[in-house]
Amino acid sequence: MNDTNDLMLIVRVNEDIKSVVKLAQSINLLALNAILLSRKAGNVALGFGVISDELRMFSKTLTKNMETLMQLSYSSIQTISLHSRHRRMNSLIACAAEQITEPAYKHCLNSSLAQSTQLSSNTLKAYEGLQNLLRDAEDTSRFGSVISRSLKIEATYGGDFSHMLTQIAADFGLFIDSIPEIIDRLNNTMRRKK
Amino acid sequence: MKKAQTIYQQGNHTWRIIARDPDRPNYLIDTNEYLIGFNGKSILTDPGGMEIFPSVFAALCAVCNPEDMVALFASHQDPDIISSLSLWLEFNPDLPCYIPWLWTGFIPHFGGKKDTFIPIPDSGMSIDLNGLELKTVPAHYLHSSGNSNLYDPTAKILFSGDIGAALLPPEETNVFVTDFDKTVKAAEGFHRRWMGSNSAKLSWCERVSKLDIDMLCPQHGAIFKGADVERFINWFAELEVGVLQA
Ligand SMILES: [Fe+2]
Ligand SMILES: [Fe+2]
Repeated sequence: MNDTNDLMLIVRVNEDIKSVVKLAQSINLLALNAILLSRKAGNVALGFGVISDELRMFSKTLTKNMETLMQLSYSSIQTISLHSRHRRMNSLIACAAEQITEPAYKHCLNSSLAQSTQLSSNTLKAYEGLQNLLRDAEDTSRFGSVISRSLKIEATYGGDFSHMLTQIAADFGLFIDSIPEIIDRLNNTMRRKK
Repeated sequence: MKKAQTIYQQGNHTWRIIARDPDRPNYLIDTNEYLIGFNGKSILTDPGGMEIFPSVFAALCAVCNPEDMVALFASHQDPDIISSLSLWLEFNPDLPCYIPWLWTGFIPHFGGKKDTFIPIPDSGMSIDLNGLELKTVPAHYLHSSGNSNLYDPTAKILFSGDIGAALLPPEETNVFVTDFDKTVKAAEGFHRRWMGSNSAKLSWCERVSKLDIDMLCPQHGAIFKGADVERFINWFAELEVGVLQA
């Protein structure tokens, strides 16, 4: 893969991060509603309220994961651009080297090649960093799926409110279930890079 | 990293300024890039120098998908305007770039292939942004001998390139002019030295006076808004330019 794809790749990563942030926001809003409703429902929905609050905290953690990921993706733009600039320069130096027999110039070419290798390894490191952060997000998302399932169970104990609570739990499920798909896509993008 | 800030929004029509990079080394002049968006597509004006490309690109990623960018617009040939071209083309090799025709043999030294460039004739042209009509406004010799502004008649915004540029101190973080007198004081030396022709200046002043402008957006410094737009044009008309010593 060349550098065009490196910048494009970061753009796609960033777009996926943005969609997860949006989902986290929706989950947060829904959790606030769920907490209010469980208060209205009283004793039958005590458990539902507690789990909704967990989901609210889950959305906060997920947002934080994504913000860290986004920051790293922005700083890797710097690394990728440097790499890309140097590669261009390097090819010009190599081109000149074909026409120059002066040994000193050979040295210049070698040091440029060495720098290229360094920059290329920096780029790979940036991707590794992104992948590590993705693993945190993956854990968070898994935890979200677990609480979302418990919420569905709690909803059935909601007495007169159980219909409404079940609906809310289903909505949570829809949001949460779409997160692993995005994280998988992010992982695949990164893996292809290696 | 730079930050994008919305200065105009009407439905799907937006103008954003990318400005004030806190990490920029002092030996580089600070620049403003503007992203004009319409129905999901966008054009970036004076994309900036090679050194600040990562900062501009990251700021863009935060507010839009750069894949939706359909063109670059370069007001003239300067390095702070368009030396980042090769990196934009690394990202999207098919991205076209509007440039004054006079510079079509020069700007390719920064990168690009033959069909990258759309030459702007001396008299100006219309640019279609996904259904929104933008108009280039001739601004030759101010300061570059082939120089173009970009006017958005719907938003009533004029991107004026180096005209209106003020070299403000770094603590001046407001993107809008807050103190007109202070701003033109910071702009005076720049305009006297860089703008080469009094007659070109007067014809530009006459040309833009006829346009309906709510915001005059320079490539350096702060945006003139409302009554300050006319004040600036009058100030500029009276300023003697093309002098070596202020
Ligand atoms: Fe300039
Ligand atoms: Fe400039």
